[in-house]
Amino acid sequence: MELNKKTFLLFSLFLISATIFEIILIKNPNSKMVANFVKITTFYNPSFYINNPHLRHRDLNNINAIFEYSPSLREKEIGSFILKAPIK
Amino acid sequence: MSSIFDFALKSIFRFGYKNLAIGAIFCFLVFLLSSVIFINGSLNHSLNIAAKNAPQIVLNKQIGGRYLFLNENELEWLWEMNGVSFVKGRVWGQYKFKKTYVALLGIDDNEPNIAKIVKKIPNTNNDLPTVYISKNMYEFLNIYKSQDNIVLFQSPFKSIKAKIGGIYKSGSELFDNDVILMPNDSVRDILGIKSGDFTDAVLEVENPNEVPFVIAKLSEMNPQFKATTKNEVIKDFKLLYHYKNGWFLVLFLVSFATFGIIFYDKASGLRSEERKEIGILKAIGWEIRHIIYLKLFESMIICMSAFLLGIMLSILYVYFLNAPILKYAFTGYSYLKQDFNLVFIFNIKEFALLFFCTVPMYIGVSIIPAWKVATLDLAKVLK
Repeated sequence: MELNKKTFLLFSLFLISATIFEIILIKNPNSKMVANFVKITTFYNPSFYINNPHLRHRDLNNINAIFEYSPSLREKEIGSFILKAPIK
Repeated sequence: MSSIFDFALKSIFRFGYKNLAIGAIFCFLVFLLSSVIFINGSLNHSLNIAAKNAPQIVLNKQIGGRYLFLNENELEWLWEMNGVSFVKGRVWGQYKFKKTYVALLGIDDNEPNIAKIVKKIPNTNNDLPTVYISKNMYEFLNIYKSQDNIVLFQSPFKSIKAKIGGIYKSGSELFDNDVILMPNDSVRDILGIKSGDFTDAVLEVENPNEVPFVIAKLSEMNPQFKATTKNEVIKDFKLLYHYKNGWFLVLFLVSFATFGIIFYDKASGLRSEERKEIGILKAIGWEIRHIIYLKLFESMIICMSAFLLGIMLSILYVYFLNAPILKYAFTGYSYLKQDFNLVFIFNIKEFALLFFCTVPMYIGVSIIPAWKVATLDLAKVLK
């Protein structure tokens, strides 16, 4: 297999144009929505680690206090949805 | 010079696919590192946007190490504090559906600005409280809701039926993915919070420079109050990302170690076929600088192509495919789908660091052994 100048030029051109097209085609999310949501709800914790309350709500100090005491502590799952079968 | 470039192009695959393999590893490492840089930059950017509109102080109540609900009487006098321009009690908490937690957040019954963030769904059950949820949550609740969009929240305190009144508009999935907005009273009923009590409160201070002073005053007037500033929370989150970057630091170290192995392999000397090739080139009249140019072009073609391809693939992976697998290192795994879009942020400093730690190094370790061989006596090389 041998590379020639034409193939290399085409490959380089493809790489550069593909990168540029990608950047043009990226659909950035509407930052205004984030601003509005935070303004209305005063909630600004990213919804990460949903199933780890001390990571999800880092300003909810009581949860932090419990989990900082011992990471082995687990919350009692009160408030869980206990319907045996869905309503649908 | 042009002929040397042509010769370099043709010689890339002359000794099997070794150069192709090195290029592929180089490309993969650049792809991995740049994906992390892209994700991290986008998350930090979104957090900064959220921080602009976030309340300056979050207030909790602590007695004897236990955290308790705040009462409205305790919040009322805060309005009279000098410098405080806004006080609001928040009612919220976590509720667990079978597979995942969700955040229940109370809002006023007739929140005037709700239309700004919500696309309403027509619902005829006007006597039920209205909840607003994310698109992913709507899909998740498919098995829990009835056909006319009614969800049942059940707790040891009270069972509440609520109608889904709207879905958040696209754009804030990073923050609202698991949040269910519902009237304050309904949240109280589900979470067992008494009327007039709040989970915590948010405060705004007219002059941001006075925030530390207001906090000091708050704790002096009521030692049970525990105030957290916006900056502390943001710092906390950034530390979390850095902590995650700490996890990624291992990835960085492994990647750079792999680069190191490639560089070591290149720098440790040329193979006998390559030494012979240099010898023959010298024998037919090539000078040392020509050989250096040849190796320079050869290594530049490999590493620049690999670098560009790595960046191109990482943009595709992060911004078009939403970084499958890698994003869970940041977001954690959840049954609730997390298909948020990230804002494109190109951090020149970090990419410059990545470039200068890889490309010039590779070129350097490719040229030096060739130069060493080229300066040797011709007879010795061809021996």
